[in-house]
Amino acid sequence: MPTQDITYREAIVFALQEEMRRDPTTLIMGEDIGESEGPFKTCQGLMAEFGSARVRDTPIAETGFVGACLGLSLTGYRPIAEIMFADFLGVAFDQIVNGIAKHRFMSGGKVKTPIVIRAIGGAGLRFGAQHSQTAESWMLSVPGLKIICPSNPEQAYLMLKAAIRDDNPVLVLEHKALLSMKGPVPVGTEEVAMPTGPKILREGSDVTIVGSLAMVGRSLAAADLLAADGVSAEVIDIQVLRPLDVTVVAESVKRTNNLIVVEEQAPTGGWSSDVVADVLTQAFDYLDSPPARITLPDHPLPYSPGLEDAMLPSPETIAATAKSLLE
Amino acid sequence: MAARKKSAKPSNQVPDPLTDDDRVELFRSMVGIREFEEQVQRSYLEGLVHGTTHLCNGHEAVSSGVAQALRPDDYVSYTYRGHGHCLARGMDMEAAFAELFGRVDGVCGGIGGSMHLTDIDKGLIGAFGIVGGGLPVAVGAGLSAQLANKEQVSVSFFGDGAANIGAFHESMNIAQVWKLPVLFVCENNLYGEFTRINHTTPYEDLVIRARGYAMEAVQVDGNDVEEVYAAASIAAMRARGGGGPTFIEAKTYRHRGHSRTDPAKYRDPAEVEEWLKRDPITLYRKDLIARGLLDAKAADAIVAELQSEAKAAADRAAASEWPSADQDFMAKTFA
Amino acid sequence: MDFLLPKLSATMETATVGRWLKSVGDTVKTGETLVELETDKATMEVESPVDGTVTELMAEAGAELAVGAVLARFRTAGEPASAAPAKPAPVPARAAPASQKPAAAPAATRSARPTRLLASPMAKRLAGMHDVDLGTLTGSGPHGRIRMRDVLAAVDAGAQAPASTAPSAAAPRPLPANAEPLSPMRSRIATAVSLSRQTIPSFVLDRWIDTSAVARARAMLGPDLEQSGGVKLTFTDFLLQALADCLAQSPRMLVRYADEGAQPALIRSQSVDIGLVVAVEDGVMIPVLRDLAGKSLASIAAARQAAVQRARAGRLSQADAEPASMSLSNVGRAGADRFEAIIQPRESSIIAIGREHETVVPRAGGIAVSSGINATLSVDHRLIDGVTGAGFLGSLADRIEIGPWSAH
Repeated sequence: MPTQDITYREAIVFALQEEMRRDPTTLIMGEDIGESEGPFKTCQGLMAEFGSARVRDTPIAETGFVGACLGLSLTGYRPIAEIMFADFLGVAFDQIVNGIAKHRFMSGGKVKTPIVIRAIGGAGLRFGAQHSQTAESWMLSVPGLKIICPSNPEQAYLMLKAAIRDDNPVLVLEHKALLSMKGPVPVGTEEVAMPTGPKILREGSDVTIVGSLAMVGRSLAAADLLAADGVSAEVIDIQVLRPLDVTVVAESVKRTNNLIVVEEQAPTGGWSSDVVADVLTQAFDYLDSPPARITLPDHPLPYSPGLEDAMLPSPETIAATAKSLLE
Repeated sequence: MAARKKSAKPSNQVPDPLTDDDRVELFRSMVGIREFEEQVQRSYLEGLVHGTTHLCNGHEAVSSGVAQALRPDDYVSYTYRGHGHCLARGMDMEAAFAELFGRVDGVCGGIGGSMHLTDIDKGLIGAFGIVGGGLPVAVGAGLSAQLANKEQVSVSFFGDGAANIGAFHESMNIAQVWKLPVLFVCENNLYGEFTRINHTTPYEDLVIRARGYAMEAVQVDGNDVEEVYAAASIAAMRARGGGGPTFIEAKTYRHRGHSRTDPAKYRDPAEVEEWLKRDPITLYRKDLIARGLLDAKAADAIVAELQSEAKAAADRAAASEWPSADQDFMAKTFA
Repeated sequence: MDFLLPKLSATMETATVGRWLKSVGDTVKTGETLVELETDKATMEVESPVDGTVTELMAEAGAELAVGAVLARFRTAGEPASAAPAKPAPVPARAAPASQKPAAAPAATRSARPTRLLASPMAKRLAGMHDVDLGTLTGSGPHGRIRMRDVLAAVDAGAQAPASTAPSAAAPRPLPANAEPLSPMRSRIATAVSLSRQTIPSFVLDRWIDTSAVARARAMLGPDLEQSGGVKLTFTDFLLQALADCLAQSPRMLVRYADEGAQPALIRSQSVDIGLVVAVEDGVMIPVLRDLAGKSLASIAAARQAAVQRARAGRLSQADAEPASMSLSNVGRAGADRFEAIIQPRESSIIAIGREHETVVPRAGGIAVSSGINATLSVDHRLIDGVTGAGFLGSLADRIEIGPWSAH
């Protein structure tokens, strides 16, 4: 498949455009996504092509329009909701947790709920405490949802297309610090499949580093730093937070015997704890050091650039942690 | 703009006037709901119904009156007090009982339960256990109807308690700004769970709420089935023609407590007595007899017939198998 | 680097520092003797694991340390001279001063919680695969934790030693897919017999014993006892009475080896107790019959029956856990003419009785057919010599072949 070098943001636009062309029952709703094409321009050109019926500006009312996605899905449509900042998922919490995630199950499996909720989150752009969260763990404990996290343009493209074709509710968590990241994307791909587990992005033999979203790039950078010091790090993108299947990570740990999980969230109640717990179960006898988690400190994100940067796990921190495990 | 107080029966304006046969059928529909709920109460005491259940005795005229105004391809969403809405749309009594009993032949295979009866083939898109949770979903079904352009409508039943939650306001606003074919049917029974409306809401006439959204609105006697039908019929006609949503406030009363564990002792006995005198089924029975469409014997026969039908349906449902925990019920989470 | 007190034997929990052969500032080479330690087994010389300079000795002569405690610190080639021994090391488990703890010093140290051997799960796994005793390794990880690399280094060192036939350390052998874990009972048996083989230097003595007298006595006494006592008299009951009588007259057999203290010692049994090996589903259990000296066949049969029931029910009593001096293993009618049994840990002998069978024996210058058993006695040579064992077997043979039997 020939690829084009495009940004993460453009990859999202391509995925939306191709899938909306492919299936006339798809439509997208969100705040300022029509004529304005989205605050992050993730809906560029969509209203011009598909019209305001299928590319719909909503009131600032996440409960209302996210809940409407359930009604649309039950009556034959494949709605996509864009949540401008992932932080606003909280406004639609009841609709997602009690409605969207459970409706198919409660009907005895008799209805389908093909819904995509795209939420753009993450720190690094100085948006302060209410506009910088990744929200990765907020819905982590909700059966009936799938949660995926693209960490580069290719994944943003392929995963979103697969999510739109999936017959289940999928929460796609995108990262605003990645929107301008460039990479090769196989634009025009016909066949796509939902990822079912983590993906190894770089092979290594001494330590396994697992991350999501922006932490994947930082883990890859850490692997470069470690390579310079003769340490071979394997880097894995967790990709799918729910249903969580850590088999790939456990198999990696069986080869490297050391594990670090990097998560852009506060230290408690996040997916990195689940990864560590499941890897302990699957690969306990292969661990040669206590698994390490690197997270944000247990505080909201600050605005001032120096403060925000200090909160985020840096490649240097990740590399230093790896070395301490190998001491 | 039409927030009318106490509309007169607008029978001359109704797009599709009721025939005498329709009227008898409406009576049957209400009696069927009542006898179903009475049997639920008996079955609950026999231990066949699990957890809790929310009976709609007293609300029958709203369910039956609105259903009479709908087409088979319309969408209906409702609440945990939703048995009546489902039966009025033709849900099979045995499948409903089996669901309440948690059996495999239940309309949702025993997975949903009393609060979550769903039957997508009858346009019954879902019952919502969270107060107000169904309104945004009804808006989505309304958007679907608008996009499909087949003159369908989406009806959302909810109670007075829901009028105070955010989902209500967001839904009313979206439906009106997008001119969606949605009927917001508020069954104002004066009690949000255990608390009377005057403790929770600045006024008792919720039709006032619609004004804030510039929405067509009407207040009806929710215990008068023909008045409910007329209002719903006009609202549906407006919606099908692209005229947007209507808010219908149906004043009614909950004969029993909020749920099976609630004896409803917080109500003034005088208030209860007043409303029981205005039982929608008693009122309509008198009306039909007065109009010569039914005599007492025929009316009694209908009650007896539906009572035994409910009993027989419950008996058959109770004989249904339990769902097997080692079967594929967990596979129903994902498609 | 920290040099931790190594585990020098399977049972060692502590050691007392004897004599330091190096002082602070001395240069040491790998393999050079550093210190003498008194352990539960012996006085041992401990060698330096590295080339370097001694920077600190952490315990004086006479101090008792727990396994894993820091014994000394070195500066090795790569470390800067100023490297401070910053990290908190495991606190040496010294005996508490008498003023604080009234208990006698040895008891206090024995009841102290042993310092845990720190090793990563992967290190433990590799050690199991390659049969490496983690107690002999020095952990290079944080807090002295033994890491995978430490075990692999030990395996490499073993593989490079010229006399070694150990398999190459290249790839850890995975557990075969069809392997299944041992049952708790088999694990217990495996531990006990391994410990016995590793710690008890035993030898074996054999004797053919004619049992026709027993058969006659049994035919005569059996029905009567069965009627009066309700207990079926078995061949084992005769063996037990004969063994009990002989043991009561052989004080040198009524002993067991005490490996609890630092000094070699023996414990004399105050009564004639015999362990009885009972075959059960998937293994054996060994209840103990107590105080058998002078007991009648009737009471021995009752005690034997109760013991067998305890074993078959899987419910041995606390008294059964206290060791006897000797155990009896009677293979009964199963197919072996003779066999050797393994001495129970903490006992000093076991007698194995093969199946009762006929054989041709020389008698009065001719040959005769005789019915009897092979009795095979295994003894702990630390306590029992050949003369003692042979004398015991001889008296046992006489006792069985001649009698007398005391029924009541």
